Amino acid sequence: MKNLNGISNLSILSILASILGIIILIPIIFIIYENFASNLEFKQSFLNYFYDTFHLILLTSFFCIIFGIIPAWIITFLKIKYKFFFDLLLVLPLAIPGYVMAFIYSDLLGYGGVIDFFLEKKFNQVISFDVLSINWLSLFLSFSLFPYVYSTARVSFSLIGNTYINLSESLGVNTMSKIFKVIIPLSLSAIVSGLFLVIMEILNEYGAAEYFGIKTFSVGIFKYWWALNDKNSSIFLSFILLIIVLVLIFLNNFFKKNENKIQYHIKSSSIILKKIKNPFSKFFAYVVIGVPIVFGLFVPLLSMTNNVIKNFSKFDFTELSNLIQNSLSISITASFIIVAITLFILIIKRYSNSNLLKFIIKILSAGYAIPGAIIGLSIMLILQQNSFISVLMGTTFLLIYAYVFRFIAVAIFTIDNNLKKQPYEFDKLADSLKLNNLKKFIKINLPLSLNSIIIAFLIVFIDIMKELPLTLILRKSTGKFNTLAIEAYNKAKNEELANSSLYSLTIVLICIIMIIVVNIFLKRKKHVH
Amino acid sequence: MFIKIDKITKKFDEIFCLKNFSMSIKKGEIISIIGPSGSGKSTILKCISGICKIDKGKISINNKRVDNLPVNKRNISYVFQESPLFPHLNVKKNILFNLKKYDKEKLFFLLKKTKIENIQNKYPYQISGGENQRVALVRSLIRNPDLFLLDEPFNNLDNSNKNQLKKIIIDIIKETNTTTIFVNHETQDSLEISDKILILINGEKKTIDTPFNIYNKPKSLKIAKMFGEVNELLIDNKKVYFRIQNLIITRKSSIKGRVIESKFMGHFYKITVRVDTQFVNLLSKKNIKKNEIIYLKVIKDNQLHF
Repeated sequence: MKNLNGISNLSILSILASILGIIILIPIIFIIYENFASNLEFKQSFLNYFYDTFHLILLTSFFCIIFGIIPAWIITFLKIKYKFFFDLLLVLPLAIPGYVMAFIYSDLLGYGGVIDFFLEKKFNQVISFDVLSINWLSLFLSFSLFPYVYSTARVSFSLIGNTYINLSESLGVNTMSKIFKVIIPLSLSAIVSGLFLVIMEILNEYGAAEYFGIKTFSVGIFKYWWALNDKNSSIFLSFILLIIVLVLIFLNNFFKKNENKIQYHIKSSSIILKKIKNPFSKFFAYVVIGVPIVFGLFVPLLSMTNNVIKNFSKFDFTELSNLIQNSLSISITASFIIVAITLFILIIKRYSNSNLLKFIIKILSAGYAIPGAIIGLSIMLILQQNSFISVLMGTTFLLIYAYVFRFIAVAIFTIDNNLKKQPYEFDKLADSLKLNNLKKFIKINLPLSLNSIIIAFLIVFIDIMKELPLTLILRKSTGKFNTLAIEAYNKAKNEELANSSLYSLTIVLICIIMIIVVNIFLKRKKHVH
Repeated sequence: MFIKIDKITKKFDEIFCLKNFSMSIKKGEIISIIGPSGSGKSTILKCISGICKIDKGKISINNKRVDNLPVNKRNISYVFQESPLFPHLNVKKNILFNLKKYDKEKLFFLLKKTKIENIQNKYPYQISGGENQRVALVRSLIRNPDLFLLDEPFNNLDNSNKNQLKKIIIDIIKETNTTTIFVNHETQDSLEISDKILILINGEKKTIDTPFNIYNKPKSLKIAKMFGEVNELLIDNKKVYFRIQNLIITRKSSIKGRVIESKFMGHFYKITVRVDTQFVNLLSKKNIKKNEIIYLKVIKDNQLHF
C-alpha cells in the first residue's frame, strides 16, 4: 500500500517505530555521553561499592540456587502430594519486594524483635543477631528472589523429560550422578538465565541495601547525587554499573547461544514421576520444598498481617486509599502504554522486517537489566541540562517514560516469543486474501497474541507495583507523587515498621493476585498450544 | 538358558500391556520382536531393562534374578528409538559416559567398525542422524552388556544409512557374541538379522520361531500376512493359501484367469489376475497386457497351512 508520494505506509510506520525506540533509549545514550564528556575520576572509595555489590551477588545467588534448584528437581521428578499448590507457592514470594522482605526479617530477628523477645522471655537468654550485615541481607533477599531460579529450572527440568533420565539410568548412573552429570548440565543455560535475573534484581536493589547500610552501586549513585551533591561521582558509578550490566548481558547471551545448540537436540518427553519409598526421604523432600515457602512467603505474610492487626486502629486509611489509587493508576497506565508500544514496534518489525528496528529492539530488550538508579539519574541529568523540558520534572509523564524504558524488555520478551511462534504463512495467507496490514493485525496476529499480551501486561504491572529506586529518584525532586512502595520504604526507614507493613501487605496481596492470574493464563496458553 | 523371562505381567491404568509373557534366550542369540503398534513390544524392553517395573513374574540373566534390581545395576544396554546422545558432551565423552574402566582395544574395534573414529571430538549437533545412531550403538556395546536391547534403531534413517547400520549391528553382535533383543516394525529387517522371531499381539506371545519357519510355516493367516502378501484361492472347493511368488504362469492348467492390472515394481511386475470371482497377485519378470488370458499354477510344496 503506497501513499501519494510513493513511499509505502509500512516504511513510514517503520521509521516511526524506530524513532519511538530511539526516544525510549535516550537515557542510556545520555549517560554514556556524559561519562565521556565530563571530567570523571576514579576514587578509592568506589572499591567498597565493588566489594559489597559482588559479595551480595555471590551469596544471594548461592542461596537462590539452593532454594530454587532442589525444590524444582523434587517437584519435577518425584511424586509429591499437592504438587500444583507447591508449584504455585514456590513462585509467590516474587510478589514480595526484596526491600519488604529485608525490613520484615530485620524486624523479626533484630534487637528487640520477636525472636529476641521470645528467647528472653522463655529462656531468659539474650541472643542478639547482628542482622544488618551483607550475609543476612543475602539470605533475606534470596527468600524473595529464588523463584527466578526455581521457575527457569523447573521449566528446563520438565523439558528434559524422561528420555535422558532413562538413558542415564540404563548407562549405570546413580541418582546423585544423574543430577550432576545430566540434569544440571542440560539445564545450565536456564539456571544461568534465572541467576542473571537474580543478579539484575540485586544490582537494581536500593531500599534494602540502603536500610542495611550496604554499599551497593545503586546506593552509591543515590548517595553521591543527593547526600554528597557530587554529580560526577554519581555518573561515574552509573557508568561502571552499566559496564558490569553489559558484561553480564554478554555472558548471558554467550551461554544462551551455546546452549541453543544443545537445547535443539533435547527431545521433550513426558515424565514418569518416581515414588519416594523411604518415609525419611519423603519427610526430607517436604522439608526442602517447605523451607523456601515458609521463609519466603508464610513468615513475611504472617508478620505483616500481625503488624497490621495489632496497629489497625492507628492506620490512616484515607492515605492508604490514596496510595492504592496512585499505585494502581500509574501501574495500569504505564503497563498499558508499555504493552501498546511493544505491540506496535514488534508488529511493524514483523511486517517490515526492518534491520534498524530489529537492532533497536535488541537494545531495548536489555533495558530490564539497566538498574532503575541509572535510568533515574540519566533522566535527571537530561532535565537539568535543558530548561525547556525541565518542566517535566516530577510529572507522571516522566515517571511513565522511565518505566517504559525499564520494563519494555519484559513485554518484548513475552509478546515476541509468542509472535515468533506464529507461522509467517498466516501473514502470507492474509496477503493473498487481500487483507491490508491493519486488518491482518486485527484479524490474525492480535487474536493469536492476546494471551501473551495479557500476560505481558500483568507481569509489567507487578514489576511497576514493586518498583522503588526509579520512582524514588524521579519523585524525590518534587516529592509530589507517592506510591505504596515509596511509603512502605519511607516508613521502614523511619523505624515505623508496623506502619510500613500495611503498605507492604497491600503491595504483596495485589501482586499475589496478579501472579495467580498470570499462572492461570500461562496454563491456558499451554492448553491452547 | 542365558535369559529367562517368566510369566511377566505389566498393567497401565488397569489395562494389560503384557500378560503372562514368557521367553528364553540362549547366549549370543538375536531375537526380534514383531507386532502391531501398541502390542507391547517396547514395554517388554522397558520391563527387562527396569525402566518399567513389572507387576508380576521373574526376569533372570545367567541364573541371577534381576527384576528386583534398579536399572543401573542390571548391566543391560538399551538403544532407544531415537537414541539421544547427551547434547552437552562430545562423541567420545558420550561413549565413555559414566565409565571408570573400559577396554581400549574394544573401543578401537567398535569405533573402526562403525566408522566414527574421526568424529570423536564433535558434538551431537555437528553429526548426522546415522552417525548419532552409531555412537549410541558403540556407547551401549563398550559396556559389555549381558543383554543388548534395540528399540526400532533404524527409525528416521534413510535406506543407505539403514542398510549400513544393519550390517554393522549384525557384524558387531556376532563378533562380540552379545545376546540381543531387537524390536522392529519392519519385518524384512527382522528376517535378515534375527536368529528367532517372536510375534506379539495385544501383549501376548503368539509364536516364536526361526525366520524361515515364521515366513514359510506361519501359525496363522494374520502372522503370514505380517511378513508379506498372501493369496487365497479356492481350488477344488478347498481354500489354498500361498505367497505371491509361489504362483507361477504356466502353459496349460486348470486355473485360468484374466489380467486385471500390471504394475512395474522395479525388479519385476506385479500382476493382478481375476480367477472366476477371486483376485490373486503374482510376480512376473515380463509385463503382461491387461485382459490377456493366462494359466496359473501354485507350487504345491510352498503352500501355507494353518
